[in-house]
Amino acid sequence: MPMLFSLLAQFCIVAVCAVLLGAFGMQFLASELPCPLCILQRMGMMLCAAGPAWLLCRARKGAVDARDYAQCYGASILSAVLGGGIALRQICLHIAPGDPGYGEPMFGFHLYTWAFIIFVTVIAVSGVHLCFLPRSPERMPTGWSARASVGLLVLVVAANAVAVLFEEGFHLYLPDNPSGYRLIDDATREQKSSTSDEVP
Amino acid sequence: MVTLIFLLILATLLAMIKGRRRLACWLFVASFLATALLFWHHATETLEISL
Repeated sequence: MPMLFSLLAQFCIVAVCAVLLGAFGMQFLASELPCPLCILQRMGMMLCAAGPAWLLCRARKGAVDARDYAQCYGASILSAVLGGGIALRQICLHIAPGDPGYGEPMFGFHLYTWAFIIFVTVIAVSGVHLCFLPRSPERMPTGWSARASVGLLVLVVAANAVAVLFEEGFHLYLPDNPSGYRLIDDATREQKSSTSDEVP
Repeated sequence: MVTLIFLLILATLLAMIKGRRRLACWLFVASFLATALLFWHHATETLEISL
């Protein structure tokens, strides 16, 4: 059973990372800039994956008990409720008949609809997991694959932080309908204004 | 603001990896609340996107 729990936690992390990397691919390959609600959904997914990652990190230090499982999957469920609310809000924005929605659909659904399905799945998987808590502390195997899955999550979060810095620039909030990378646009504008000042 | 929240999530993960339980817990709560507050901001103002 501990082996199964470990594999399930790793699968949860890798599945969320795959979705985040897919969204990243859409951003750079299809040049589809994420809106503020899309970014918020990404944050929700990262917080969902932080639960299983926390469990694996705790398992590396020693035996884990029911309290550890409950805390980690409880954190995932709370994050999924928040993320699901954000996704539902975006679905409601585009629910009017004839509305083309935001961005291109993928496999018949828009990305925010997929995000809602993923958040509901996270709640369901965490709930099932919590039904089978161990009665006593047990050692969970954490090999290289567990370390790699947590490392992948850290890399995905770091890459998103850099990408969003370019999109947001040094502004307080993201624009509602982003059209470019503000950090680059601001720098280019500043350079242009400084060169025009130099010309007599 | 968004970049800061991503950095907060990153710090949470690093605290988890380092085994700093209490710090990871507080950072997780801070990331969660910051995300919820940003959602509150974006949900209550009209999004000027083409419907």
